Amino acid sequence: MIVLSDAHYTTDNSNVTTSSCTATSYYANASASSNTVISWDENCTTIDTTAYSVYTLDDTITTTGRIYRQIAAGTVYVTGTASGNFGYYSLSKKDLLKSKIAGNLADNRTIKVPRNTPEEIKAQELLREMITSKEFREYLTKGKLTVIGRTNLKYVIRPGHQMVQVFAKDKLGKYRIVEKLCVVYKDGKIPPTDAVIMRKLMIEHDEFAFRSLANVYKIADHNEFDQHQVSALRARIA
Amino acid sequence: MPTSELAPLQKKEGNINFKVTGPSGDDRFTWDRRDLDQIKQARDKFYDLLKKGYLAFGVNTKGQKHSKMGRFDPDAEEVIFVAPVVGG
Repeated sequence: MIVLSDAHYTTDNSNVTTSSCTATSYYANASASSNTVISWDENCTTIDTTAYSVYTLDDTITTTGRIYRQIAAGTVYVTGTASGNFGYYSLSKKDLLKSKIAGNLADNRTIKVPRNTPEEIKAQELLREMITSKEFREYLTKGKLTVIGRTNLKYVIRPGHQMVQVFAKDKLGKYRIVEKLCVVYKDGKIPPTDAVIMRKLMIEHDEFAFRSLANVYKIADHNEFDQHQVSALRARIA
Repeated sequence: MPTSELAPLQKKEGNINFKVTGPSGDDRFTWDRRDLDQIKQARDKFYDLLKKGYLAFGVNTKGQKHSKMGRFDPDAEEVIFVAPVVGG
């Protein structure tokens, strides 16, 4: 399980044993449950640990806080209620393997999106809540997120000020890049992953506003591609 | 580790969560929709951000995915505000 705190992204509990913080637990087993935001106040105990283990909160909830403890690797913390009824169970071999793969996400050698500031980590935490584990893993390791718009155009979003690549299907049904779009925050100091969140939300829910706002750099002639798709797009923009 | 100055996000029944993207990552605010005063505060905050050029995307209580919001909806479980954007 990967633990995200308000200032650190870690699989090691050393960064989360602090007072007054909020962490989000992500399940290595995607089918286990939805993500759960865990809050605690004080009395987070420090425990000796090794990286990539699975952690959970103790099911003993006190008025002053919740005791953080380590449980056996391969055990997954399952969802709790607001009143703090938590539990856990053991993973199957298949899910244990998935758990190990997920743990590798914390290896800096495989991650292309830097997590160098608390602001960026918070932005990644928000993005993680919006997409699947698989998509988030791809984002961290490949530095891109793919979104399909209502027009069936495929948008590849990258963090920061990088342009959005737009792919359309050609006559053979294969996606080929047709243009690049540039939409950025007015305030350039916003964390790179927040730009991904902005583009994803706009493309999914207001694709045409996004396109009309963007500076467009054409790469290929739309006529080479699926005429139905292009016609539908033009009709909607008009 | 720096302590967060933001109110912890609490996913409780009856809460409205605002997540506002910005230079500090995303600022989070929680409102109780069962409290009229807090609903008013949430509404004021909502329109204040829209005036500043933010875009709002909400999830309603029926679990419907994010959709663009032009009007305040106290039934929205969660609202993500995207800071003002321009063509690059």
